[in-house]
Amino acid sequence: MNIAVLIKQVPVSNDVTVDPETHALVRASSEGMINPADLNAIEEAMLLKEQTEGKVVVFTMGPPDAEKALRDAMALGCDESCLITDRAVAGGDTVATAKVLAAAIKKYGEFDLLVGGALSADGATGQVGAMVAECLDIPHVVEAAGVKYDAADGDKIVAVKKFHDKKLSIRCALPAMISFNFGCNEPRLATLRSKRAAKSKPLVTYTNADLGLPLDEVGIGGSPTTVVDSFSPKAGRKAQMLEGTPAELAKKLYDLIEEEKGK
Amino acid sequence: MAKKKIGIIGGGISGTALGYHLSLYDGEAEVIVFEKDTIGGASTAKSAGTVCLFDDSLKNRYWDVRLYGFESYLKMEEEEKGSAGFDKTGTLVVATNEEVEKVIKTGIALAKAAGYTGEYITDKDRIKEILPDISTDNILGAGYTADDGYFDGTMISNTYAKKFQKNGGVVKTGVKVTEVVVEDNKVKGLKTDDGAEYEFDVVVDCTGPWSKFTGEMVGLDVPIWHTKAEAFFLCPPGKKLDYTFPVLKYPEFYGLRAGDNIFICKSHLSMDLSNPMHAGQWDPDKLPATGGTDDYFIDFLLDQLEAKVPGIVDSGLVSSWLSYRAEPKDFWPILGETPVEGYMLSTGFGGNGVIEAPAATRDLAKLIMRGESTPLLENWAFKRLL
Amino acid sequence: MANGICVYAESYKGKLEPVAAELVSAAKEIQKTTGEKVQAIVLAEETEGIVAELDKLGVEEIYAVKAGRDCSQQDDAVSQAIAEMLKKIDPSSVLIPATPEGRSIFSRVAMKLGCGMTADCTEVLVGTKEDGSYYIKQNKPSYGENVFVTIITRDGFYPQMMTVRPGVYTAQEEAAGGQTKVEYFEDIKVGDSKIEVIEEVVAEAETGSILSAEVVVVGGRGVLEDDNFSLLEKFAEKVGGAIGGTRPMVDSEMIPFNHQIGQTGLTIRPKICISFGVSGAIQHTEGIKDTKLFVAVNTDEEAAIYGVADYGMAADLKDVLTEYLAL
Repeated sequence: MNIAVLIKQVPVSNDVTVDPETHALVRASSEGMINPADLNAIEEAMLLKEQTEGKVVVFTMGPPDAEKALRDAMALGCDESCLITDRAVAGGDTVATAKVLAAAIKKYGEFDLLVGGALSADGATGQVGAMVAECLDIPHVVEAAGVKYDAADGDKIVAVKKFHDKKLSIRCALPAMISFNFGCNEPRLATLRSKRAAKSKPLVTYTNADLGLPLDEVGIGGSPTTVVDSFSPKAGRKAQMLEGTPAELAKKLYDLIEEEKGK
Repeated sequence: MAKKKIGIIGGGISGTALGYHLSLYDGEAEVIVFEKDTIGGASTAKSAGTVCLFDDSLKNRYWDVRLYGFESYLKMEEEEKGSAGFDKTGTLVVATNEEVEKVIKTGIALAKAAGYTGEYITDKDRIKEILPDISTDNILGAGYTADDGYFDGTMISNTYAKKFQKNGGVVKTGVKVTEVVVEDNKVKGLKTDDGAEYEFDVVVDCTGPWSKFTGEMVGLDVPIWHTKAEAFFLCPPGKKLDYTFPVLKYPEFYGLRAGDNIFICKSHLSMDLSNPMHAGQWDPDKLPATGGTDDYFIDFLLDQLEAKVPGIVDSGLVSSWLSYRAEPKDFWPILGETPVEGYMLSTGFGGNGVIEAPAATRDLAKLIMRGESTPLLENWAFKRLL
Repeated sequence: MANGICVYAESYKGKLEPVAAELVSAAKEIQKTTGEKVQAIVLAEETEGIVAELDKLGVEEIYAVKAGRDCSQQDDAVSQAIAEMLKKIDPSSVLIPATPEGRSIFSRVAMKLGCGMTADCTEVLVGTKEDGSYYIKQNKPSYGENVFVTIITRDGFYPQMMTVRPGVYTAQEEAAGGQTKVEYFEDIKVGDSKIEVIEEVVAEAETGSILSAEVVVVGGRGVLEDDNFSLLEKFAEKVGGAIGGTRPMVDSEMIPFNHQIGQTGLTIRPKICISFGVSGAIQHTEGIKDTKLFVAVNTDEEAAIYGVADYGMAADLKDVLTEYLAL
């Protein structure tokens, strides 16, 4: 089974503030890492690779330094990588980004399965996976907790997903896109040796010219939505202190937990 | 007699220990520690806390400094278990050449003189008993004691801060000092980002890697360089070690256990101030909490572990971090007076803050309260660098 | 000309989801300025009950497709049908619950319609363009809620689609109903799907792993005293949470190392985190990220943990836990 893994490089720290004058984002650090849920997707891909053989190719769209995330993914066992980097595709919303990823996957080769993390730690839209599936006209299951594959099933795969208070087994025809929740498995770790080995694994770079997408379909210009402002949260990060007797506090705690669980 | 008013900038190990030592001058001092973030949260939190009896981190010439630090923390632990985060794993210091061997043997003699155990082991099977994953090829022997281990700099800072507050000291967290007021080359006080102003007789810079920027507030060029302390948390093959991993010291790197993981960090003395990969002057505010290590560190560590501790070379890389050690060119701290009257330094510990802060700030407190110097203050005086 | 504020009436097993009433309320806020109709779309196996519930919420128009089969999870087919519905209704904006189902279906719908979609809005406001027409200002958190951004759908793209976070808007109250125009699109069918639910069992709360648990209860040094840890265990059981801890708890072997949180341990991202007796040294707070609810209990009012928690209780953890268990 050939698997494409879609990953995103996200900031190590979500410690971002807004400049009160310019409303520009001020990041505490520019350090990037693989989006945490994507590590769970890589793990699922590795488990399937061990079971079915085939190759795993990791894709990301981002600035040139997103190569680091790809190398990290290859240190975890991905065989090849593809970086889509071009000023023309930068700053795109989920629709524009999905088009670029889908085009890159199509150009790279045939895949039986696409996987990715369900939500990113920064934007947390959870939309790109299903949008890529739509572009490629394949079915999708998002926010899955695991996957089972039996070669006897042929071109079908079973995703496990928690939905409301149920655990569902969802059979899906291949090729398909499945996204995985953070924490659904325990991702393997790179080692010093695998880190070093990853440096010489293949990395293909695509620009928008390679993909041949019209400029009004990609990047900021190809995005139906656009960010027009940014601001700091109204409340500070300091905790709101609750007062009362232990019994009253226990009740307040109970209410807070139940309210959040209900959401 | 009027109380002496002292402002301390920085709530890491150096600032909190100084606050504590000043608060021991019963009622004579009025002290405020200003911390822009959390107590013991910045470079102190990234310290390995290896206050060991005879490793190479601090020359044997400063044995008393080391012993005072070690015993201060042991007493903290006796008062309240966990308050210094002590993990008594013992320490194995490996001798790779005769010079190192001599230093270790001296350290053992000094430790024994203070009533601790220590031995120099040349029997390679014994060394392997203590650390089964080690390679004993190309080593002469190793010093070992079961009496020490590592501490937690963040916990120690918080404990010092608590003791200091109990003695009447004030800690202000989340408050950044924005200006040090100086008139006629004499410190008058300082201003903070919450709009408050304070009058002080003495202001002490305990900001470690930030000292260059702190010094600029009084027009002082604090000659601090940053060396990179790069660290990895390794998950050993099999996820769990079946032995107590001791603090392990080589001239090039050191390791210790962190739960079931192993923490490995590049050692201080392997740093070359003229190599831009090792040293420079950077902005510590831009340091991420985790990550930030350079690729060269992977190669460095792989080569080191393959040769020296091959049993853990296939460990998983759990996380990494980068910290800046602040140090002057001669790698010694800067302690005491500066050309600006009333402005003092307690900085530049170069990653040894947890070892050196207790003795250094004990002496500095005496200087501030009594005007009396000590040999340590003389050795580590700012004027040596002028 | 696109017109109408359309709400996706998410349902589960024949019943309207509570979030739909919240979205109707958000739509009515928009309506106050734009004067457009509030619409709802329903697509389900059986629709009558759902339509009746919506009617009571004061929606002006309901558009429905009766699927005739349980098409839950068949989002490849469902999204096609919904895209066709929206083409017919032609609303100016679509409000969708920011739920797994909403995201899953409408990501495809947005792509089919080429209209884009803003995720997880916590506020939708009306803005006025120079020509006097209206647009929706879609405010959403980013970077783990450290920043909020305003997103708009650019001119020429319709409908303006956005998912809205559950629990943000107060649910629209039920009224008499009977005023709603209901239209069934008989010609829109839910086509074949490449997806099939083959098993459905009751899910159990994940408490064995602190990585996947939705609720994590964290103990710090304060838990080491007396029999506080057994209180914490009972509390965790009661709230269906996994237990994580800081180094002192691991050192004292109350919890295994793989339940330690912080720089030497794990980074967890639970929905709900409640900490007891944790002071909040950096090694610990770095290990918890992106929680939706974080309550800290610690006697020390100055504890650093209150710099990161949403709510704080400066109380003895033993008292609070004992009272909680008595509830």
